[in-house]
Amino acid sequence: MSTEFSNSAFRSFADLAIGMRPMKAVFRRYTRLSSLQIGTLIVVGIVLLAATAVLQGDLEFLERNAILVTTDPLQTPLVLSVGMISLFLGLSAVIGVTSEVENGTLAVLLSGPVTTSSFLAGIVLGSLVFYSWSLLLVLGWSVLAATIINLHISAALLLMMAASYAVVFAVISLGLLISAWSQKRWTAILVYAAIVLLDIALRVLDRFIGSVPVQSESTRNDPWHFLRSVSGVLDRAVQWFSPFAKFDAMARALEFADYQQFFLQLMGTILFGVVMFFLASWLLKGQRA
Amino acid sequence: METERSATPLLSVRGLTKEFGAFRAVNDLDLDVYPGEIVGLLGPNGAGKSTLLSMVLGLLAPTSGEISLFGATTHQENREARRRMSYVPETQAIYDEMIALEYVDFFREIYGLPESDDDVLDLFERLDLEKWINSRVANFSMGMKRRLGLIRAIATDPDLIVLDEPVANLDPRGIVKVRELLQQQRDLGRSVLVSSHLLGEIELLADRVIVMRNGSVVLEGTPSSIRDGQVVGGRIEVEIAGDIDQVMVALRRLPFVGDVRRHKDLIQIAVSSGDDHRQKISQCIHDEGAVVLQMTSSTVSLEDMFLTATADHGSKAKTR
Amino acid sequence: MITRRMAPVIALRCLLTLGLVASLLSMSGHQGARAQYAENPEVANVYGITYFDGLLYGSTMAPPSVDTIYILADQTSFLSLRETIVYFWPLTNQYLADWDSRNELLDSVLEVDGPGGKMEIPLADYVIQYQKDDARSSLRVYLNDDAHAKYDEFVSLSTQYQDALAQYNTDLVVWQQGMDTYLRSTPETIAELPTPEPPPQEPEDLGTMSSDLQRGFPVALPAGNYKIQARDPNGEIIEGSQKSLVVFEEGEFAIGFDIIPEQRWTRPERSSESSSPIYTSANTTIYVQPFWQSRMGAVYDARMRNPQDLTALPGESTWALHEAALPDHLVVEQDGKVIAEVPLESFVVHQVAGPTLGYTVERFDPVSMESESFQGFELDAELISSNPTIRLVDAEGNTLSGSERDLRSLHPQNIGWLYAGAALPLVAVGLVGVFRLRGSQSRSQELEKE
Repeated sequence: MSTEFSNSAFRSFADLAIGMRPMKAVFRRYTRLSSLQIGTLIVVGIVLLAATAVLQGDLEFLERNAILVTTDPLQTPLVLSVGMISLFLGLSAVIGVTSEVENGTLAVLLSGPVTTSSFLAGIVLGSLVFYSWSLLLVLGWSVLAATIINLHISAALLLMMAASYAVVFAVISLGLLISAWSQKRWTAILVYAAIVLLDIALRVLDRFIGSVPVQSESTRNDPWHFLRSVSGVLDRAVQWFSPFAKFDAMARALEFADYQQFFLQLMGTILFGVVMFFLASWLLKGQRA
Repeated sequence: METERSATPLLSVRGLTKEFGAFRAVNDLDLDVYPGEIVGLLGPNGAGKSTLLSMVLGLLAPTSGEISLFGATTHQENREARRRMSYVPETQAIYDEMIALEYVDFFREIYGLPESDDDVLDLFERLDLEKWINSRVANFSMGMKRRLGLIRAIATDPDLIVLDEPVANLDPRGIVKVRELLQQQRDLGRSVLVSSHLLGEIELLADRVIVMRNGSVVLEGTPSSIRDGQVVGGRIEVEIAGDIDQVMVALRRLPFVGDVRRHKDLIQIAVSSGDDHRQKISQCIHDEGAVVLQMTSSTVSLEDMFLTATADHGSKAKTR
Repeated sequence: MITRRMAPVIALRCLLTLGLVASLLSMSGHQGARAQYAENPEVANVYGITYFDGLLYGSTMAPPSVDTIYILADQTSFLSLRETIVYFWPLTNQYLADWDSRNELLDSVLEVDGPGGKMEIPLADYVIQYQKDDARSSLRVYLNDDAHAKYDEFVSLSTQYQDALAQYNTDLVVWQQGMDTYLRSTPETIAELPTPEPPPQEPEDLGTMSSDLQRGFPVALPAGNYKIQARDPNGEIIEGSQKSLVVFEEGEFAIGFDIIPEQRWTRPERSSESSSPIYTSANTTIYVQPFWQSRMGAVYDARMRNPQDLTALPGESTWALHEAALPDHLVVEQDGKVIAEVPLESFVVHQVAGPTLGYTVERFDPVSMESESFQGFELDAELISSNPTIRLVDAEGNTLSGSERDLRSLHPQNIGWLYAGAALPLVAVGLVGVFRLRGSQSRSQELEKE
């Protein structure tokens, strides 16, 4: 299977190179589709309101304590924004691909000069254009916050914004993979939601268990030991595979000016996205000649 | 739009087989589509038409056999070959958020063509959609969407158009318009492979008809030759004295016999060639120790033959 | 110079260092509770660990359940293999040692196998000493004969100090009695009394801090992963002595700040990263107290201090707190130009009476009878409002590493405008929705007519 997949991945690269024209058409369609929908504006509006609410929490702390240090107040709103928008774009990709399958438009496209990889690349690029618009709005919001509240837009924040493209790419690719595997809209949506909820649940679970007394390597007489071990393993798996966990790790690395760690996490995220993308292309191609 | 006429088939299928586990959907099938002809693909549900089309379109990999499209095998994903083919599926398969012309131009861009020209606008006019050229597709009726799908397919300048149920959801006027348009495309040198269950429409539209059953071709010929019995021969009814079941078994073994049924005391025999088979049938009955009391022969309609050729035992075959 | 309230953590560490044995004993300081809760006590061999954390020494132990010990590279830490009673303490989910019941140092040689090959480290007597006001540069470790000599010297000095202190207290009582008599006398009789003598001089603080005389394996290794085991005089490997030893390097040294807001002086915040600005609310004056800190891997730092700690995450780093850094002044800049140089000063905190509560901070007046509350650099609200950058410079004018911080005074009251800006896309949704609805209706009507 791995040889088959690597051959397929190689062919997908070749398809991408020579399938630029169809990809461009798909890309333009998805750009328009994602950028002009009312739903996307609603999402961006909600994201910005949520970001403002998070910032308000920090400002309330500031008013209580008179000072605020150790964190960049704009970082959490940014991470939240990236998380929400990428989840939305992943969901859009799921709905986009499965709709094309169910409506028969994918068959029309693929019976012509469109390849699976150029089709999926068009979706990814179109979604990234929408993300750029969203990010521009988030940046605009940040500038507004910096202006009227006198916050500081740090170089690290801008670096995080740039790195967020990798996270969004990875989440969209995950959505593509789920759609290519499922091919049914509601199944794909449910699986996507389940994976996202599992990601969140595992991280919350690990933090909860981690907060129970002092952790110990001891196994005897420790009722939490088994749960701690399991949640630790699961959390490490999440750290390895979740683009959101990696984005968190990037933020932490920048906080400590640990650029090597930042770069490693960034590369890990991109690699995750690339593998998901070509797996999706391979699965979608699986039923084709 | 380029006209191409050649004795070389655009589409050539040899020994095509598709298996889904133990089920064989298409069985060692041969098929040719030549330039400038409309080929109608007939068959009941489960006959293998959709599987065949999916393989021709490159959407499904065959288990064995070869599909040659414009001289290239599709499983090699020859992009140029697929650029010369267009497909209109049975489903609507249309992007609702687009306006009509934008939808057509989207596909023209994919096929490497410039934005729509007068020829494309003429297609809109021919199918009565010129008024809705700048309207959102979401507001279209089913019939309008089907017509738009056909315009899109032709607007990508294909040499081979593959259509699945092209007149479904069309009103009588729409059906006539679509038929005329497809025949015009045929006259321009394009080939059309059309799959449908509307026998009357295929009879009017197709130059050649292929009837499939259980993944195999069971009948093939022009609608007129089929109708005149030149190809399918016709139906022979025999009344005998003797063991009817034993005779039916023996008749089924004859190579020119398509189907054998019992209707009260009559044996209905469908034969598949233009020769006179009555003598051979009499001999066969005699060999089984029975006596022929009465024998009549008749030609059948395409629909009769379709039903006869594709029906399982127990289903009705209408005799004219 | 170390201020009285400057770094309580450092004071705590001094105490820890002073009483190495006391620290070990402190682990078993729950006699009553232990009788009630301790589970499965058993005799076991454990490693007592006296680790150097970059500034001072601390102590911990590695029970049998722990297979890895962490220490700093190129610094001398001490391991000692001891037979004691180990029990599980469910309240903290950790194994503790009952040093009171049994604490026997096992005579042995430590065998270390690692990047530099194999080596043997014999037991040595050691003592750790430093000057209270400059621990970082004065800390010394003495081994064997030197340790005995230095410890004897410390005991001698300590005895002298105790004697001097006792004499001072006696003299002070006499002096105070004389003063009482003097103060109680009337104007008529006071002339007959001799002029009071100045009070007795308090003996100078000992200054030197010292551990007790201890015995252990002095381990100073370059960074790397090692295997250790202890062999008794019969050449047998002692049970429970085989463990992994992770020797890690300390990260960069940089300046951190404790930030004290005037109104909330009981709630200081810590700023470790120079990339993180310090935000203040409007009209807030702050006082900053710099200290040295070093970056360490979070897992290394946590498990060096307690090998049973599993809370730190791999890949993360943390700042380990060191001594106070107190240069004479702090430079305040704006757009690269120096706009102020703030001196190090002492301050006194007064609680505000009445219903508002809160505090005011004033400069310490040496003439007053008050004692100073803390030392630091004052940055007033007006200075902060110009969004300046601060940095610390040493006597030669060099910027101390990692001491740069951006300061910003925020305007939280403007959050409403930010909400308005964030809501704009939703307003656009409303407008687009209305526009599309109208367009859709008119097209539908046309289609119906058709």
